[in-house]
Amino acid sequence: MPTYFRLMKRVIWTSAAGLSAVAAFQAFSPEAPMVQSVAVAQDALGDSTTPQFQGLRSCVPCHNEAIGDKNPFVTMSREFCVLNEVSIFASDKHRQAYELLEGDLGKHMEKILAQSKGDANYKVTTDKQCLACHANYRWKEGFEQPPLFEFGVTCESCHGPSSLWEGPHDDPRWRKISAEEKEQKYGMIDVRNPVRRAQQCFSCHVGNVREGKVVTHEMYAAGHPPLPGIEIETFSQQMPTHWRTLQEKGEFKFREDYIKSNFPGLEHSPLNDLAKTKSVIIGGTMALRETVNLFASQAVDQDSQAWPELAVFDCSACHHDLAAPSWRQKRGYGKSLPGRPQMFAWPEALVKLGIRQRAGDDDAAFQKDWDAYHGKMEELRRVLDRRPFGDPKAIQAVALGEDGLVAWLDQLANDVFKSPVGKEDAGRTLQTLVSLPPETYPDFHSARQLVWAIRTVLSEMNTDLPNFTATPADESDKQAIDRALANLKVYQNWEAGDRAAAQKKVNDLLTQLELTEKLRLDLPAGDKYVIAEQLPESLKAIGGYDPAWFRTQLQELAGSIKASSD
Amino acid sequence: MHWKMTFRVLLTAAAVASVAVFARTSSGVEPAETDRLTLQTPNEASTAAVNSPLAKDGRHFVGVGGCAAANCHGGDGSKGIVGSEYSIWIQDDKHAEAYSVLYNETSQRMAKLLKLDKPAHQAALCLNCHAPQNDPPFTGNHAHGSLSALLDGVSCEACHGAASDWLGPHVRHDWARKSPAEKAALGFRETKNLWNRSKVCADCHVGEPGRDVNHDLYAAGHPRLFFEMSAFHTNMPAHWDRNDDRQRTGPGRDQSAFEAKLWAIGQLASAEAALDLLTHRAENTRDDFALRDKDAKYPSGETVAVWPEFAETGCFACHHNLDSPSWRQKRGYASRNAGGYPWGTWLFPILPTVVDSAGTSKLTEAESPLSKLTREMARPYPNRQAVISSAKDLQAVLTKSAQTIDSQQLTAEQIAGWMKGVSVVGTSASQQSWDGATQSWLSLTAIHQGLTDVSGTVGQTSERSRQINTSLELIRSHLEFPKGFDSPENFSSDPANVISTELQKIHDLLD
Repeated sequence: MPTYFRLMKRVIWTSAAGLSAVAAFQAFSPEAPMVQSVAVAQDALGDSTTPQFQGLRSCVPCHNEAIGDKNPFVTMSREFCVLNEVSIFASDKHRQAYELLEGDLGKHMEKILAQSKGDANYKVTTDKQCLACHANYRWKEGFEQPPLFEFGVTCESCHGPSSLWEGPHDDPRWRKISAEEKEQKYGMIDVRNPVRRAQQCFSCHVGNVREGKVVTHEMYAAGHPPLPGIEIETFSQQMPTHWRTLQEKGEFKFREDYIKSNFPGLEHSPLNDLAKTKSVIIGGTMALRETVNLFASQAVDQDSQAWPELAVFDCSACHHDLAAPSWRQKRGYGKSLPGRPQMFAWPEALVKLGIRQRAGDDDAAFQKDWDAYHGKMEELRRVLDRRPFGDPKAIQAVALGEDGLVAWLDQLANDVFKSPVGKEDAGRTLQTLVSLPPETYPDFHSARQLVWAIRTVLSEMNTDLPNFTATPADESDKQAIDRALANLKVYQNWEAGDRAAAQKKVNDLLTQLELTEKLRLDLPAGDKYVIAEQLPESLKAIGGYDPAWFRTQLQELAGSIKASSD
Repeated sequence: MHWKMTFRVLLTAAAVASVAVFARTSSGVEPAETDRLTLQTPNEASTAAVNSPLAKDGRHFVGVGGCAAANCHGGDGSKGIVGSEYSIWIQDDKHAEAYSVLYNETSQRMAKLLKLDKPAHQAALCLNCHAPQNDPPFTGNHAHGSLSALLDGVSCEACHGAASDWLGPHVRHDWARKSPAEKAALGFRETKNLWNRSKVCADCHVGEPGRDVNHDLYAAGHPRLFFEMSAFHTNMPAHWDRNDDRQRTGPGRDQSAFEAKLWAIGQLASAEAALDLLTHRAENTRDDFALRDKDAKYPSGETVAVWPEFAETGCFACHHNLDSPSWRQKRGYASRNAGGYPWGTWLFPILPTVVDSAGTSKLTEAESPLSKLTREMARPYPNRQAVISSAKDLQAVLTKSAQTIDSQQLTAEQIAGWMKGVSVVGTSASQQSWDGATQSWLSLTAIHQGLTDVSGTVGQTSERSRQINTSLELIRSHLEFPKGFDSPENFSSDPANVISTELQKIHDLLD
């Protein structure tokens, strides 16, 4: 554990513990407005009903335990969250997000952008377009930089500005409050909901105009590494994760209430879901939802200088050496005209999983849904094909209209969220993943989507959940703490044992088929790698990718999976 | 190969047949009015697309049969070049194969990918260049119902003009006394003037309305148009006496600035033709065009003007695998925004040297029509009105420059000045793109030839010439596409630096 955080914790603890303690131990019931309880913790950042970013310092005092530490003040919570989140985050790449701007690549880009923008004083470290993702700063007039922005993308970037919920959230009764209320009233984002989480991740990893998080072609040309296609579970697992799924937590106080208020609309218990498989399916739908949303949000007036934004089109559709003979010409351009910029293909790679999940074994329902989806995509492509970059107004109408593609995908993601995802569903999902329709040649990023999804689903299917100790009746507080710690141990053993073994089995298979290496399935995640240093290799992998090879490997993979399950 | 052989046989048969038809004309007998080769124009001719240079005022093509008689242009070479024009063309000139390539695998695939409503060998979209005798233009109809006429590919009349009105007068004794204007009135295209000649080539090799090789066609598999007048002119098997060109340009046969002048005027004419096409594209944009419907077809009988038209931009600006570290980022983006389009990288990088020397205008100035056009075209969706306006201004400058240069008797000093100019402009152009480097190389090769010629030192290579040739050869070796590529996969700062160094050497040698 970096000593820096330890030091910080010590410094901050003394000043912040008092405030936290006041908030935590204040008389608290759902009826009493929690806003009052956190008023003391607020900086003079603005009015007291708008959530404000406070920075990492407000999280460190509690969430910075090294695994195995026992902190007498907060042990009660350990059954719900491990409290080592910040220590794990210390090795998370997101922490580097701001530092990167000050690094070599940041300087390199700054030089090119200064010239490109004709502004000699241009700085990436104060450009809102950079900080929106790299320090996750929702810009507010009058503020130069967000609090502790130099820690990059930190807790509040994903969990929401904490000024209103920092106080109340460490009381177990917080779990009884609905996810909607937590977000609407207090600003805490419900990242346990796979739909909402995907949206949060994609806001930077795909882009979001409303939040000012947009990578432009100018940035790419200045050296910003290409945003890779993102599969939500794979990226989460490799962050590394600083959380456990509901199923991995074991029992905790108010669990039933928590499930009721945080998983609205579910007619089954989410405890029976394969959480990661569900997240893969939902993430697959949300990837397209957010891509199309970004695409359409940028399709503004055609006379605007900002349109078209090349960055939302598939990089490799244009950026490829011209080969003779050309596999692209051999493959053909489907229904599109040759030579027109295309949307990224990878966000479409996993949508079928959602449609299949919603239909279950009902093939007729699947076909109906699938046709409806294709109809919507076809409409979008039609207006996109009318001319290079498409007809912006028509794109907006088709994508964002009442009956548009985005609304349809929203519905699909929410329907999947409400549906139970058991082992049988995972099996069906896996079957969908390995069955590539004939004459389909996924590009590099789509191929990764498929294999990443297979990897997650297969490992989860092959791992039974840990055996937690159930809560006995009349458990004393002391017993509860002991049980929470014992269950944590059970989880840790399972993570390093059963789950690791299942993952290894799948990984070995993928490595054997050269998929791991050629698709670069392992991300340069964590603080050990620098993406810029890996770029030469990863770009070569993209350039050297051959879709026909992938088809063959996927068939092999399907064979091996079938053989091992028979 | 199989097709090529078959066509040769067919063409020979056609030639023999036409000899018979022409026996009377070539023996000097005036044919009766009904026998005239002004064959009846199909009704469609009147409805042929108006305002297109291809419409040729309702005239039509007669076919090579009208030229190939042994006594006219089908000599066996013993008469010298003059008299054997047809024979040289049919034996050595690639233009004769222009139609037959429409049957090859690439063409068939292109038709499929573009969803043409006809096969390539019947689609006017292809025939307008590959067999311009399709008649009336834009319809892809076989000329006068005869397949042999299409088989001619790019034949005599493609460049010299549809002969229905001029073939008769042409064989008369007084043809030589007709003025260029009189000949032009009959549809004969004058090609002795270098501007006219360049424009004739540019009709297809750069394009014009109705002959628009756009990005749709490239993506379907059409090879890139890489036109540079002096190089193409040198490589085409000459069916005319090159000494006549030298004599006309002067000062004399043995001491001629021809190659340099052809280069300069070729540069101007090609760019002017490109601007004409650009204006056409901007004025006639179709933005409701899509092929997604099941039965939708790419209209093979009309030109599809697309906006923005990617073919206007340097191919390899986008078409390169992404790489890290990136030499493009290291190199920078000159005056355009990072990630903006580099427009006109092929036909325009060297142009300022020519125009500036003609004293017409300073194209390098920030508010010159070229600079304005380049800035507007750097945007992903350029404003069409702004483009049209600057393009027209620039066209006027280029035409005027060509007139000035055409009227000049070029001196060795002036030509050496061009070489130096190109080596300076070429240094930055080479750092920017393969296109710029290649244009610099082609230009210097042509001008160097001109410089040697005008000094009367052909055949007696000076030390300076030898050194320049060594540098040019070194540059060429860095421009080759690697095997299996149709793009300069390995072109980056290293070759660009070598090229710049060699350009500097050439520059210094001329001081």
